[in-house]
Amino acid sequence: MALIAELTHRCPMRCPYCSNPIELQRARQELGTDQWLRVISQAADAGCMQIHFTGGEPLVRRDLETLVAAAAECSLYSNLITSGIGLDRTRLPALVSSGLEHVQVSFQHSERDLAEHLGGYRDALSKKMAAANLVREYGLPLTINFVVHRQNIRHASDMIALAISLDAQRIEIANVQFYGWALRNRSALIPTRDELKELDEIVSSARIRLRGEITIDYVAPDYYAERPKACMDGWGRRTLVISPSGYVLPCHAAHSIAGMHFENVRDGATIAEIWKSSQSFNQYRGTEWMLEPCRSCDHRERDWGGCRCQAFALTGDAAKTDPACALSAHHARLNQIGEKDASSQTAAFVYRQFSGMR
Amino acid sequence: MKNTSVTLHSVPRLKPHMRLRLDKVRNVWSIQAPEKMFVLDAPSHAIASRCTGETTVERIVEELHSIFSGADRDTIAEDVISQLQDFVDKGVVEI
Ligand code: SF4
Ligand code: SF4
Repeated sequence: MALIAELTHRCPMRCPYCSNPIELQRARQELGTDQWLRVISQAADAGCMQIHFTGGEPLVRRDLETLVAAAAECSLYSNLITSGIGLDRTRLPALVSSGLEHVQVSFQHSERDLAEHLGGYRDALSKKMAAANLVREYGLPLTINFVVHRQNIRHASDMIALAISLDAQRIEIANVQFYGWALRNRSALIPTRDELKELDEIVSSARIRLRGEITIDYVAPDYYAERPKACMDGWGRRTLVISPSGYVLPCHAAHSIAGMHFENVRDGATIAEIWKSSQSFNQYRGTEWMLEPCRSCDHRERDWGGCRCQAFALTGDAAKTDPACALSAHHARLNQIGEKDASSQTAAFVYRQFSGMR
Repeated sequence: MKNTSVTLHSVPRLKPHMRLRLDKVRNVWSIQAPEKMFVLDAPSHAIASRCTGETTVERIVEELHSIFSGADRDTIAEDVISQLQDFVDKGVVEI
C-alpha cells in the first residue's frame, strides 16, 4: 500500500497541464506538522510501505525534512516528487540525512524557452537541471518525469536524451491526464493520433536501447484508447491520497465527483479505519458496484472499470464504465472530443493559479 | 544495450533504488521502488537478499542448496536463474 501525501497546492510553477483541482487549497487550509506526523505513523500502521511526497511543490513546506524523517522512522520507502525549484545545497543534504530514498524531478521541455513558457517560470530548465545533478551528486536515485502533450510531444527523443544525460535511473513519460487544470486546457494540450503513434515508436525503441540500464515507464493516453487504464490499480486497493487540507481520497481527483463525501484526518478516524470501513473507500472497491458492460466483462479485475473520476466527468455517473473503454456507450464521443480538440490548432492556455489572483 | 542474460557466472545486484523491506503488517518481504512493489515469497526473498553485487549466481545456488537441502542442485540452479532473469527483466536487479 502506498500513501500519496499532497502536502500543499502551493507551487512556484504554473503548468497549464497541472492535475491539481481548479479550486486550489490555500496555505491556511493545510494540515500542520503534527497532523502530518500522526498521519504518517497511522499510514504505516495501516500497512503502507511507501510514501510519495507531492503537491503542488512539497519543498514549499519548511517541515518537509521533519516529515521525511518520520517516514524513515516508520520504514516507509520515501519518494519526493518535485519540480526541482528550491532543491538546493541546503535542502537536499538535509533531506538525505533525514532518510529520503528517491527523487523525481519533472521537466516541461528540453529547450530553454519552451520550458520557461510551458511551466510559467523563468529559467526553469537550468534550475531543474541543477536540481537533478545535485540529486545524483548525493547518490540518490533519480526519476525524470515528462508530461507529454501537443506542445512538446514532438520533442520526446530530445527529452529522453536529456534524462539520460542527467543520469536518471528511471524515466517516466506520462501523457497528460485530463483532470483539473489540464481538463480546462484540453484543446491546447491534446495530441493528434499521429503524434501519439510517433511517441509510441520513440518510447518502444528507447526501451529496447536502454534495456537493463534505465527503466522507462509510460502512462498511456485515455482519449484514443481502446481499454482504460487500471486507475490507481483499482479504487481502494493499493493507494490512498491525502489532500493538503486532510481529505483522505482513493484517487487524486476523487474530490471532483460531486455528491461524494470523503473523510478528513482532522475528524478523528484513523487511516486504518478510513481505509477499511469508510463509505467512500468501499463505494467503488472491488467489482460489486459495477454496472454493465463491466459487470460481466473478463477485464473487470484487470482494469477495475477504469477511472471513476473520468466516468463522472464525461458521463455524469461515477459508476459507469470509463469512456476510455471501447465498450462504453460514451466512447465514440470521447474519441470525437479528442479529435476535435486535437485539431483545434490553438496553443493558448491559462496558467494554473489560485482563484482571485488574476 | 547491456548484456541481460543471467548465467551461473553473473554477479547480480539489487539496483540502488530498489529496497528490500519487511511488511510488518502482513509479515512478508517485499521490494519497494517508485511506482512498484513486488511481494516476495520465501524462496524469492532468499534470492533477492543475496543480490549484493558480491556473490555469483553459482555461489547463491550453493547457499540455497545447503538451506533447502531437500531439493537437488540442478533444480535449484534452474529456479534461481529463472527468478533472477525475471528480476532483471523487470529492472529490479542488474548483472
Ligand atoms: S504540474 Fe506544474 S504547477 Fe502543477 S504541481 Fe507540478 S510543477 Fe507545480
Ligand atoms: S467493460 Fe469495464 S471491465 Fe471491461 S474492459 Fe471496459 S472498462 Fe474494463
